[in-house]
Amino acid sequence: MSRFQSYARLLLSTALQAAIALPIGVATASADATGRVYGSVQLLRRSFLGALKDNDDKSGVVVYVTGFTRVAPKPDALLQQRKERFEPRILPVVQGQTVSFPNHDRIYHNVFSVSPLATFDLGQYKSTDSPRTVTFERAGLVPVYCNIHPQMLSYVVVLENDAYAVTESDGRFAIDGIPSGTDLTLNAWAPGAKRVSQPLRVDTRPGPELQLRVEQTEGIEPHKRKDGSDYPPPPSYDD
Amino acid sequence: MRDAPPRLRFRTKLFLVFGVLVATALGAALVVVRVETERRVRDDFDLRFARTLAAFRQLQDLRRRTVADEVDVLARSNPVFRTVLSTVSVAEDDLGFGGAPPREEQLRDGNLRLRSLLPSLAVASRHDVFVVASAAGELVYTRADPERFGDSLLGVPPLASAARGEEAMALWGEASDLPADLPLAPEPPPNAVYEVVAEPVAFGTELHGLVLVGTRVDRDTLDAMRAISGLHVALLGEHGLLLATLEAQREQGLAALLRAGGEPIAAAGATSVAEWRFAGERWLAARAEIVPGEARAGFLLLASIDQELGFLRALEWSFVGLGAAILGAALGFAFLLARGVADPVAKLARAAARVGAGDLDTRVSISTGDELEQLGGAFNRMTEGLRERDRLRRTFERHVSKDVAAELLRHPEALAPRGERREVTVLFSDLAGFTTFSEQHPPEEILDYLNEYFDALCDVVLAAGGTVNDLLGDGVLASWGAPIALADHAARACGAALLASQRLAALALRWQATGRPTLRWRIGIHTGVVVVGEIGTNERTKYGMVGDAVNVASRLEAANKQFGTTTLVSQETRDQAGDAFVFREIDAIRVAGRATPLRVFEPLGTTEAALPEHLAARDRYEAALAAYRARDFARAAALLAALDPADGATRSLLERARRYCDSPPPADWDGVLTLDAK
Repeated sequence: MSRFQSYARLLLSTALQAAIALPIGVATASADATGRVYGSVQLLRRSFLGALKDNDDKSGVVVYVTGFTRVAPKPDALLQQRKERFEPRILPVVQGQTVSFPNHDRIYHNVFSVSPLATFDLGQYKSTDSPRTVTFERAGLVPVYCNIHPQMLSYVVVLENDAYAVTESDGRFAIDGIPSGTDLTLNAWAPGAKRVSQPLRVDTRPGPELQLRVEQTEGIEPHKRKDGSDYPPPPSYDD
Repeated sequence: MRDAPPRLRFRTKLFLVFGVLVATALGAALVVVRVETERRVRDDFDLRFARTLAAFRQLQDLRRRTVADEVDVLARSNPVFRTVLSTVSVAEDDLGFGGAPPREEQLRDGNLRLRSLLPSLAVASRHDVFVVASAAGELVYTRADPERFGDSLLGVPPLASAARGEEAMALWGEASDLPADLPLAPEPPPNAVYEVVAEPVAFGTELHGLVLVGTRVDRDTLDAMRAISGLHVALLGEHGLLLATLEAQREQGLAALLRAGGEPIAAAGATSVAEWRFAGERWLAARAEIVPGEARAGFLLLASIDQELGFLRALEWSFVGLGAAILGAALGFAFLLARGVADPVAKLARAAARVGAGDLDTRVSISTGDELEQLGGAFNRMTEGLRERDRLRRTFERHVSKDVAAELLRHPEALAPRGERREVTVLFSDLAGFTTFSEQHPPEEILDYLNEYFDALCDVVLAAGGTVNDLLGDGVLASWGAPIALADHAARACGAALLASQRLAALALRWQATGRPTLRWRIGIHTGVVVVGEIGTNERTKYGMVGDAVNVASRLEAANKQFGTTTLVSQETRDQAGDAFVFREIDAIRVAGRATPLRVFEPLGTTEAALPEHLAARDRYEAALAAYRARDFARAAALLAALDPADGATRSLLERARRYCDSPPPADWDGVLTLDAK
């Protein structure tokens, strides 16, 4: 993969995790009284000094519902280490769910977290070792790093239930199976953004499309040299 | 008379010329050197400015990159630093599940963690300024006050540039550069100046924090720049001078100039050089921004033109010394040259003065080997010429009239120095009875007597264009036709003889009246070929002639005694004299040393003045002479008897005719009267 493509992808993936405007449509789909929420996220870039501008790439925003707990057994989630990146960059899981951290690179990685919600250090292991796993018991944000590779960062968002979605670049989302009720909150969060939330009332009839507005700190362009050329890329360990 | 001394001596002139030349040359050289040097200093300054600026930019870039690398290394290699920044910037967001600590607690924890970590790291302890901010611009750690956190650093340069991913450098030089009471630097501006670089800490494009790293800029820093560039360096803030490598007094001057107004500052663009004047000196100044595009602060590069030209002063002194030496040498040379020229010239002047005073034997000896020597040679040749002319003049003045002498001097070629055959008419004059006379009178009287006689006779000769060749006792030898050739020499001689007779007759009357003895004179004139030329030695020469004609003239003179005449001329003279004169043929004579008889004639006067009775008397005499020669002595005597008996010629012929009547001559008698020798 060319250097340019790798940068472009990096840029794309980070940019997409931003503002989310969540228009939420809620519908109760069945007799056991669950509903559906849908809508779109408006992602805004906030500059260091506060200026805002709209962002076309609206991917990477976690939209989730709080106000009820539903811990169903789920298969292990995967947070893969590939090409010195964590994939995905943002990983929503449900409390009690186990995340497996397979190493797909031909080098060592060392996954760790200093978050008080889940402090762990998986030690160094390579791709041929069996993937190490962590079970997240407490809800909240757990940044996961690699002790070896500073650019490797991923966010494990531990939720109380499985009513969540991660936006694609169009910013649209849809969450099904939300129990009917009025005591709910719809949240949206992206790295570098403050969580936005709004009260949510769900019944079986489809509700209107919802809009969420997320402000995310503006990303940093890779430094250019004074003459406009790129700095040499970090060494690649691709296969 | 001696000439007045020269108004301006040659030596003085030469001195002046050399002095002015040397002074002008040195002055011109000095001016050229000064102008050229100043131009070069300016060019050099431009060059040094550009080089210094380039070097500064490179250093700046290096510093910035070094800081970036250091921060990058810190962020990459130190998981603690990395996670602390991530935590304060991103990770402890409240996702709605409760339990997230308040923001201040997050920052406090981050501060504590960094305080635990950073002091042991070189990157943090090495820099005067080391500040860590969260992605939102909150202060997490500052080395200047490690326990401080939470302040907003949004307005602190160049944090915002770094957050935008731009090259971020700034100068903290003035109080307004930083928020009040924010301890980011160990000694806050304006007491100290810091150059600060900001670097973002990012994961990919995701900003997790910012690090500010700064180094104090002080005199040492500027001095280092000065050491590299050789230029003075001054740091400028928005409001004036911050620091400079100048001495205190000059720095004050510069500060005052900058305070006084932006004019000079405005004149100096980013790379253009302006000329300022402060602290009593002229300066070249150029300004550059510390951070490109950031016009607020900058630095000045300064060079004092006067200092740069300082060596010129030494050079000027060298020139003055050199000039004095050259001038001295030039004057010495001029002196020698002047002496070399003036001495011969003065010598010539003295010699010319002597020549002017009449000393023609003056010679100059000049051996300079140049034109002066030529001049000396020419001078000597000139005096030689003068001597020659003088000799000629003296030779002829006595003998010829001034006109003839002048003519001779004009045409010296008319003179034949080697002798030349020339037909001339010779006049010989003598006093009768002079020997007796000189015995009877005292010499003084004789001298007077002779002088008057010579005066009268010579005057006439010279007036007639003749030459007085010699004075011999009472005799005068004169000639016509040499040295100046005359076509009518015979007529002139005859005219002169007639005139001389009148003058001498008048003189004789006067002498008689004063009781002096009677004066009688005799003149003989003959025309013939002689050799003329100078006779004598170099010291004593005369213009003389050699030839039979002279003897003949002398004989004719003597023949007057026989005929009682005063003047007798030869037939040659009479023939050449032409018709202007009336002659009476006296007789034919045979003189000693000459076989050929001479017909002798007496000039009676000019044709136009001739009286008929005189002509009649002459004709009668000549008829008598013809009868006498035809041996008709009776008729001759008869004819002669009728003539004036006072006439000597008549008496002489009559006496012989009567004698031959009594006793006729032999048959071979040819009618020629033989005169005794002398």
